[in-house]
Amino acid sequence: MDRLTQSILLVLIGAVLTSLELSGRFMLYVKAGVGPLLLAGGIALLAVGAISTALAMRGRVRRLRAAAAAEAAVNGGDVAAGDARAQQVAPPGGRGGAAHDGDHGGERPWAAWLLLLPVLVVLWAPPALGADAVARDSGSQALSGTPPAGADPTSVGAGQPPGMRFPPLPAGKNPVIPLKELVQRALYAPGSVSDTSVTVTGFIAAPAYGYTGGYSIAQLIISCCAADARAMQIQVPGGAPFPQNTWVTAVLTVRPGSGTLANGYVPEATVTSVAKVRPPADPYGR
Amino acid sequence: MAAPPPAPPPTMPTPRATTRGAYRIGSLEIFLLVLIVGIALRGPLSSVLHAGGVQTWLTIFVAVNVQALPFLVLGVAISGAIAAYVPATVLARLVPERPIAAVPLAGLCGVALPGCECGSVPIADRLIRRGVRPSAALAFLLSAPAINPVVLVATAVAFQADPRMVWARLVAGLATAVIVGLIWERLGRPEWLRPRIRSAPEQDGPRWRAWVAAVRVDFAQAAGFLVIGAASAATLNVVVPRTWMQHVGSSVLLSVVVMAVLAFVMALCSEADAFVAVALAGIPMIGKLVFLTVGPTVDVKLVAMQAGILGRRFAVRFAPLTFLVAVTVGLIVGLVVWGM
Repeated sequence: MDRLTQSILLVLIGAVLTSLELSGRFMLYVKAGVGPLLLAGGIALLAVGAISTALAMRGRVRRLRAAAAAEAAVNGGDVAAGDARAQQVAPPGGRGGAAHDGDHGGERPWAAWLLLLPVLVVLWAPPALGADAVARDSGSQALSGTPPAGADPTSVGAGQPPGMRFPPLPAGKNPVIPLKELVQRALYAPGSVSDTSVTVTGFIAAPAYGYTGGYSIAQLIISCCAADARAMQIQVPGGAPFPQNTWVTAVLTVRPGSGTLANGYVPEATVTSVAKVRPPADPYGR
Repeated sequence: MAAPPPAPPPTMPTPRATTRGAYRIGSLEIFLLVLIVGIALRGPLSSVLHAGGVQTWLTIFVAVNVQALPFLVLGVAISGAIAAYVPATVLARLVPERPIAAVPLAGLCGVALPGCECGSVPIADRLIRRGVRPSAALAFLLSAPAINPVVLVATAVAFQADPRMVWARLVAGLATAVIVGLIWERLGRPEWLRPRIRSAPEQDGPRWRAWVAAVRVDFAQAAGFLVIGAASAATLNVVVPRTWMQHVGSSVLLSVVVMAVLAFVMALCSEADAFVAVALAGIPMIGKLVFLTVGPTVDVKLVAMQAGILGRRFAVRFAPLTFLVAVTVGLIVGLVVWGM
């Protein structure tokens, strides 16, 4: 890939990163906190790419002009002058002319062509991870080394891992909590959610590992980007009210002790109501 | 696993623009053609692109790229600045002559580069080209992503339950970098590194122009290999079932092996791997430490970048060496901290 094309590629990648940030679409792929970094990187690439493009264009124009002049000189019979000119513009080794030309072997990485692939894929706009990723991730929902509290519905904090304390649920009927928090409460402080119905948001996915029938309401948790996504699921008996990947808000009550080793610690819940909602701008949990 | 079409075309040997008026197709024309065809194919391909596995692959592929590119920009900006502004003589004076001093010092310098592993490859490459002893540059390459403050803070946040992990990680990461550097000093041969026909333009023109040129070339090359790494990481992410991890927790040794392999194939950013490690149920702490020691130093994404930038003959020797040392060091440090 020659110098001018490389420069344009830099501008293109910079533009893609910047527009992903400004449109908020970057949150489909990476955590929201990466935003400012992405913007800074994108703008830097845009600026360097633009300067580099200008330099490369100027180099091309100069070369063409000099070549035309050389040709004119040759045609005019002044062979020596023409040769000298051409020499000056494009020296054989390319070394001295590097700042003006740059079209030589060591500077034309073939790998740069591969960068077109992510640019095209971004233009094809893949959506956030959904039910397919949940089905592939069948890891346990329990925190490592901390077996859940067990089936005792009266325990409000027993077996809690250090550093994890659950405050009282928000006041009001059917308080809204993140899906991950509901899963962790159900596993580590079942008493705090056993008699209460809560409201969670997630998308419809296949029944969880170890369950037959029903469906699950799921959300993916990322800590950096979609490559490290982990699924958080609540199993629901009965037929799914919407197709998979539909985002819903559900009012539900978990059955204490239903998350066990055999089902990857996915608790089961009875659902009072399920309503379709718009997919959130930031689809991943923390 | 269906990779998304269309594959980029192979590089055409673009001839130097001739003065004779004959029109030749150059990089720019191919570039624009690929873009236009790719955009035009979006409609016809949509049914393929929306199949479950393919869609998951595409999302993870974009995610790894988007996540790593800002750090790569930082890395090439620093590497370009070394090329344009730091004379080779200064570097030679700063780095001690004796390898026994230079390698640990370079390893410690890794603390100063915030970010994850992709950015440090072009920097190490530039340091070698500027005459820094390869063993020292490689120690920096390995330590920077493992022990910088951002990564250590992320580890501390993830492992609130057992803060010893932060220290264990710092010690194991630094020790791995220094040991690999010293082994390379003894056994490494310069000809394994990609031969340098010429360095980037540095001689003439203002310094900022040399910087722009270095950033352009380094970015285009390093990011290209990042794409290969992202594609393999996405493929393994989609294809490898995670269920086989669930029953390895019983044996420390088995868990160490599995976690090391997992760190290699998952190719996580070193700022994120602590959060993933803490969530893996039933794995002993030693296994997790091995995961955090191997991950930042050697994984599919890094091997792709090292093979492309530092040379294939280098990568086939360096990657296994690093892997073995990282596993061993992780295991020993883990045994010291947590016992059997």
